[in-house]
Amino acid sequence: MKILIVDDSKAMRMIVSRTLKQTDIGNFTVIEAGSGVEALEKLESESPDLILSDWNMPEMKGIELLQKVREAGNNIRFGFITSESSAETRKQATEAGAAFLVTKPFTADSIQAALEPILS
Amino acid sequence: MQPFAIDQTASEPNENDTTPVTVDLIAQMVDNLFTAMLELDIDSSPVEPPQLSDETLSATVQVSGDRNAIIQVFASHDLATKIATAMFAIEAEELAEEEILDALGEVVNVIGGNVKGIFDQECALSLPCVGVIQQPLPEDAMTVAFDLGGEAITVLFKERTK
Repeated sequence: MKILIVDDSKAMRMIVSRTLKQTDIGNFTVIEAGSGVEALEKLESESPDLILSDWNMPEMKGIELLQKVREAGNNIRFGFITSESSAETRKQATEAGAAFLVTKPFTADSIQAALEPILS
Repeated sequence: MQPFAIDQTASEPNENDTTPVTVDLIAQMVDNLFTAMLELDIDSSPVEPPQLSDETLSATVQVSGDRNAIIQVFASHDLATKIATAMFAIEAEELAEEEILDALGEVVNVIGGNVKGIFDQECALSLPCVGVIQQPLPEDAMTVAFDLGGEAITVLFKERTK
């Protein structure tokens, strides 16, 4: 399984990648994108199975990335890992077709709990 | 503040909610961030904020909308390096300056996002702005510091009226 991690913070991409390795989700490889534009390019070139995206990013927010992915007819599994935690954010994420939203700070357990239903 | 999957029955933003951001809430956010996510040893009991110098690093986010606030985090370069070392899981000598600033920016980003969640109204969270400290600091702000492995990390919170 290929997982595309999208975050403008290199530090956060590292942490998400490291935390994924602490879960029991099995074999996967990580691809990284530092922006929504780069994520769309990687989606095309790498065909990942899952996207884990930040919400607040310059130029293209995570929610816009999800909307563009869905507009293109791509139903890839998509989740947010973000410091955003308001009800409005969760509502927007759900309406746009996200499978889950995990709030920072997260743990391996919280990432695994979010991923299990969509990977089983 | 526990992470959560999307709650399909999430309530609408509560326009009448004026939940205050307290020292205890900030302490909880900081504790969760450093303990759960970075596995760093932080004491969430507030300590006296240290004197800030021109070399102190600062990371800032703003929440704007139905409620408005500025959140800042201050740390010495050494402490920011320690945080970055934990985030990147590499030795301090291998870190670029940009990565040290990135790490401190992510700290304030997480705290700012948690604050926005407490506000739970129509608000936007800015991207982090990181660099050396800009004086003067906001007046009448809540300023609290915590011991992180022998050095103080300072969090400033100031809610602003529209």
